[in-house]
Amino acid sequence: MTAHLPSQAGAPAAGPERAGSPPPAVIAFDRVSKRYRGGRLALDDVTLGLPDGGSLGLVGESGSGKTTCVRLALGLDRPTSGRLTFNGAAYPAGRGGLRPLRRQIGFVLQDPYDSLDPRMTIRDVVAEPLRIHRLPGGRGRAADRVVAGQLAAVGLPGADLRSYPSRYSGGGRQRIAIARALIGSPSVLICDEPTSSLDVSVQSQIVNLLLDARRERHLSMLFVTHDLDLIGRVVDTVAVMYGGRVVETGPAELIRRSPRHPYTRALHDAVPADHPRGRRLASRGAGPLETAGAGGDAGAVPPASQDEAAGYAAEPGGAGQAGAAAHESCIFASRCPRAQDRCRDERPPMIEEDALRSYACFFPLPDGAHG
Amino acid sequence: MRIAGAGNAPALEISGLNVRYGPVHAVFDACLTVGAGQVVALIGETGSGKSSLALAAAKLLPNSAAVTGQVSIAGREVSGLDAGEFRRIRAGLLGCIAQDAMASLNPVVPVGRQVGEVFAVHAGMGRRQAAEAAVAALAQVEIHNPAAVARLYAHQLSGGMRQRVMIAMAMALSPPLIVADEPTTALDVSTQAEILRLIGELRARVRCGLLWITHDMGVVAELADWAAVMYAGRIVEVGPVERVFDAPAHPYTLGLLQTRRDLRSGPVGAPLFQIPGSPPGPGEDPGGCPFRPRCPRATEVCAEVDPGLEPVGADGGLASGEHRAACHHPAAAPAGPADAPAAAP
Amino acid sequence: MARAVIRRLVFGLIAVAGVVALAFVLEFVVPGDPAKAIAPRAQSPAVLAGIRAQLHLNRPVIVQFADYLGGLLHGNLGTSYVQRQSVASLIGPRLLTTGVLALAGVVAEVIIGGALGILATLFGWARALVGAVNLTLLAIPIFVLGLLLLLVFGFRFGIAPVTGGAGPAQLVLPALTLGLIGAPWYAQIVADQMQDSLASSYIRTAVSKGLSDSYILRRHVLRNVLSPAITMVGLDLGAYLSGVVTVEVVFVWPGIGLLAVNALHDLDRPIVLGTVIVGAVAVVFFNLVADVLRMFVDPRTREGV
Repeated sequence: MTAHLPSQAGAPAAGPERAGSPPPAVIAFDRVSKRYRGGRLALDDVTLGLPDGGSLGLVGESGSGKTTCVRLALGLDRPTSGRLTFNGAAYPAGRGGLRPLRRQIGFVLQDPYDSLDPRMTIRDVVAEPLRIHRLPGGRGRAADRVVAGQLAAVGLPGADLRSYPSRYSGGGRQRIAIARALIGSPSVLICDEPTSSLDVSVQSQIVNLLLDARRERHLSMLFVTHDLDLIGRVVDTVAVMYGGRVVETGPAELIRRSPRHPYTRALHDAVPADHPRGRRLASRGAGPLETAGAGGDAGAVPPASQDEAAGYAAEPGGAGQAGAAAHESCIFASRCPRAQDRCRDERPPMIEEDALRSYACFFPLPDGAHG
Repeated sequence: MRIAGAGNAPALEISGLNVRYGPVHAVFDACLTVGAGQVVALIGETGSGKSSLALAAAKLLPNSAAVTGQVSIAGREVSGLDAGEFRRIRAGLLGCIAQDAMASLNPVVPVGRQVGEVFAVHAGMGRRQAAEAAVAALAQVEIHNPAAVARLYAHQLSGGMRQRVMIAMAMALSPPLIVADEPTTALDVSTQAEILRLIGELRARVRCGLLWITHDMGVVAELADWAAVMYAGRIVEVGPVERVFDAPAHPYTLGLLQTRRDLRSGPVGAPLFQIPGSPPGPGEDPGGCPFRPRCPRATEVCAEVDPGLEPVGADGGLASGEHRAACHHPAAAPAGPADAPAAAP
Repeated sequence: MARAVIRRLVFGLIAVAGVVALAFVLEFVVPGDPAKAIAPRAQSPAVLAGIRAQLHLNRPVIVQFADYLGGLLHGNLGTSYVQRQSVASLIGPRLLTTGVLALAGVVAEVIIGGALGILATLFGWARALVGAVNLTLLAIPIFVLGLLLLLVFGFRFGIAPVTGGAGPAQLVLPALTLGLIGAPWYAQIVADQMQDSLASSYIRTAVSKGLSDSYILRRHVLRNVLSPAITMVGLDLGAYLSGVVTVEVVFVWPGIGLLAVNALHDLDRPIVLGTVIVGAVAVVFFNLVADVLRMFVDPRTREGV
């Protein structure tokens, strides 16, 4: 069951829609699991779909599995079980087989200081995909022209092509990375926390750049972040991940305003206040300001340190939970304020609420549970 | 500037602080006060000078940095002390929490011992006593099973646990001032929420001044009594936190608030609000107000004269002079759409 | 952790086996007839053939190899062609002698190199000086240094013995030679590691806790230096125990190295093979010890803890 997509204005029709069938997925995870050597289960039966021409957001914290999804989507790793397809066909094995597929995927990763080879000039960095995929404009004068054009499009007009990445700030480097991602005219754009390492005032600029690029080139976009607010502004459909599983999917707006899964709600509640009068988190001993009443079931996630007491070094995003024992239970049960016995004994399946939303919870939150 | 309400000496008083790294002038004439038991959020982005200011106040900058100005902690003048004198008293005066807990803990020494060191060296405790005190300190920061955790190494702990260890180390001798340099920036949002909650708990129990550096306005809203905004090495706005949120005077502060508000509640698919341009790089100083290239209110005087901190408007009930901004055209009224810097991407 | 140790042990044994096989094969490639070496004045081919038969040299190579391996498993390293004694009895005492020199050499290089490294890190003015010293020591061939020291302290000033032997007085110069030659490596490692340490955030944390400079150096910095230093010591001990040939020859130190050189000259195959094996085992053993020690010192290298 792939994440469904409400119709979006401006996106090209993805072929005649047969009644009841979802738009074809460019990248589809079908019950994919990934277990690393050493036993760590990074993905547990994950089903996701990036609709052609649409956008999908993956939201989760460290250990949620979202980065593993990106690695699989880029062909950097193979699933241990399940089926991973690109435009309907399975991901080929081997570098050579993957190359035509990779030509269609542009990616922007988190660390702008790591993702660009410091020994390559920015011209070489940006032109690299053209060279690798043997596209025109990869070398010589032609490359200079093409690269200059791309750099201007990402807000670096007139940049010195012979300069090195170290000359640029974090935001500048991400622009270079975006230019590189788009130069080969891919059909898919994958962004993994592209703004998390950047200053606040630069983040919006980079995100807007990505949104513009997506709109102008009609790209399918997979956007991965830990920021629930950001994802809500950037994509149509959101999948929330925890402990290697998808716990909820749905339209961005609904996920933000009216989540079904307690973890989504907890994630939302963990975001700090907008105004001092609304402070909840550090409320004890806060001094003379009024604090909003923090009810017992405010949804704050009980600390991971409880898991640590039990002997696991638990990540906030759920990885590191005891292996086999947790498999047949809800992955969030140990930290969920609404958990009951059933949650610990049975693994909740993904329940489709309607064509748009689904969640994996036996006791979902009712509508309007979150203002 | 003293903050009313505290009977004791201010936890931190900085005046005329300048920090230079060779030719680069990182902090210009900074003046800041953290009242006893007060939380002051120091807000800024990369290159704003916030870390330099905090490190200079904590006397943790390398010798190659040129620091001038006055720094007093808990009423005690420390800027004039030499390294040796300060070293002897610092643990009881000032605790520091760094941003990257993984890098800030010695990887080959168990964390319990690193916490215990503070007790052993400064409280004159013997080995066993210090170890017990360390375990107690870890329990204070809500680490379950602190005795077992004390034997672990930094790489065996999660990010949140490591940060708790740092907090335990900083608060070990209950110093009157804690300087925290973006302690939750690298943490996941739910871990950050835990740490913020912990800080709230600790403040209810232990009265200490806290200088908290961040770029996240949400964290400021949660924690701070006072907010100070830095840009290009200068403090450009300072005031009680509610006032700064309700009526930001400096366009940069307004921009930061707008950015967050837009992110949180803007419509799906619409471009994000952005402050145009980018902060000046290190060493860039074209003269006049440093924010001018990005400011919608900029006029000629802004290009020529670097504004200093001046009081902003006098409200009934608010002592004039407590809300200050470094701007030739500060906004006097609560923020409205007309005051917003250009939203064009 | 036990698993890691066992794994290294197994690989070590495989390495030793490989070395033995290789050495054996090489012996046959080297030209020269051992029979002639044993009885240089024998003219008659029959006598030579007889000698060869006695030494089982006329059998196929594989069989000789199998014989040898069989002997090895019984701790029998064979009999020297020239000296009519079991190889084991010849190597045994010399192993100890070389061991003493190896240990002394390692101690010398750690002290000299460590001091240079610490000096270079803590004192700006020393950096260039130490750099020059390191470069010089690296460039000098070991036998040149040895002979120079012998010349100056032995012959010129007469304070060191010039005849060979294995006494404590004779130990000084060869150990010093080894120490000086090996010092630059340790100086570099110590300086690098110290610099990394001092620049790191955890040192700033230590300073912020009000710890004194000497405390920080002792309790925080040096611990981090130990790990790579231990690795090197393991490598060195192993290498030296396989015979610090040049030094032993220059100073006529009666260790394995000297034995091996003479045996090569005499084409005394069993001894050569014996020293090779002993050397290989020594290298493997000390590497293992170094690995284990390092796991104690640096918790990050412990697997699965």
